[in-house]
Amino acid sequence: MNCDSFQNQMYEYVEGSLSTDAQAAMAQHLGICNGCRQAVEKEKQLAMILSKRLRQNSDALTLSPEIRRAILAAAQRKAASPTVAESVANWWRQWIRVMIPATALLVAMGMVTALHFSSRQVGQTIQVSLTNGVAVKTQSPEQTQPTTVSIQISSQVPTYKFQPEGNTVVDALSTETVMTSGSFQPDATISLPQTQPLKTPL
Amino acid sequence: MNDDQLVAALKAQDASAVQELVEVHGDRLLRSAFQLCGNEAEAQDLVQETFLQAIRAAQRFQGRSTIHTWLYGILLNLSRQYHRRHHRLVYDDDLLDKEMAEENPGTLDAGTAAAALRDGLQKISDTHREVIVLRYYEDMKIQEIAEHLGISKGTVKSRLHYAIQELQTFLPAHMNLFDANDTQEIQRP
Repeated sequence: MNCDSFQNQMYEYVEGSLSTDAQAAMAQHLGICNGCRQAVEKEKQLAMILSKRLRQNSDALTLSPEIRRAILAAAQRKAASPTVAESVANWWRQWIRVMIPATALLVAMGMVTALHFSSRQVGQTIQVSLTNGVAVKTQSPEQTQPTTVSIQISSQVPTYKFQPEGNTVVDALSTETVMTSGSFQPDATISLPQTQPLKTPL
Repeated sequence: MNDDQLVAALKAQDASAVQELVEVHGDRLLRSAFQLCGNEAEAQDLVQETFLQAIRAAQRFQGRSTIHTWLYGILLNLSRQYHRRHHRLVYDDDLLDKEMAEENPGTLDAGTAAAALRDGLQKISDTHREVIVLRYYEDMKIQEIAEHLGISKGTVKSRLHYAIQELQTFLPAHMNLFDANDTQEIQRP
């Protein structure tokens, strides 16, 4: 390493953000170069002095109560009187937040029911009853091999994004995929699949 | 509330979230604002405007940075606008010369040195002031400063180098930024 290379990374060396190998190489250069060693000491001294003097000027400062009240008052005014665009956007967000999980749950329950009946073996008697809201499958004596049915459901849910433009609101429709998955076995408790939350919260 | 909860509450226009935002970030922003503008009253106004803009822009906050980084970005923009509007010197030559004449000519007391630094910081260019404040007051690393200002690491390092040179030209002749021994804590009776 030469002095130009060292000087190019001196700030990173002083702040300790270099990789272990790079930091070691820099330290090795300092062992043989008095000029770079003085430059590092100079930078450390500068950082210490400036940091101390700058803090001396400002550490006692605190945001005035009047300013705090003014900020809070502005926030309360805004919350009390949202713009038309914000009102529409808020309404859609609340509506979507309820509809998406409800839709996914209905779809999941429908798929579970369909798959359950489609996977029934000939001659097999299956009784299903609900216990505490959970479907329990009773295994019939004729059943020989237990089967595990895996379920993966994806549903396309519409998502509206609203963007205010002047006095109007522009909305863009897109779809997001909601995935639900689960499995059940003939001799195990069937639990309703859990819906995965959306990746992008509204 | 953690950052995510705070952002969600801000977007839902929850006034209590704003109160918490101010409690958590207000004083720190004020102290940085003071470094950037050199005047406490102006710094208070800058921070007020920072929070007002943040409240208005909360819906657009993507959460890709921390809340403090987001607020600091707003403050930096407002600071630049402030300096564009206020092209005046804050430094009072007569006052500082008088104070220095009363002291040991070889040293400055810490308070005078701090005041000289504050005034010198207002005389240098906006870009130089910002890198000095971000590096030596906010203790940011080179990479963080580069991300904050949207410039390369090489540009940050270059600006730091020339910023210190420029700052030194506006400080009293015997106030050497690289020598802690030129100032001392003087015990006043």
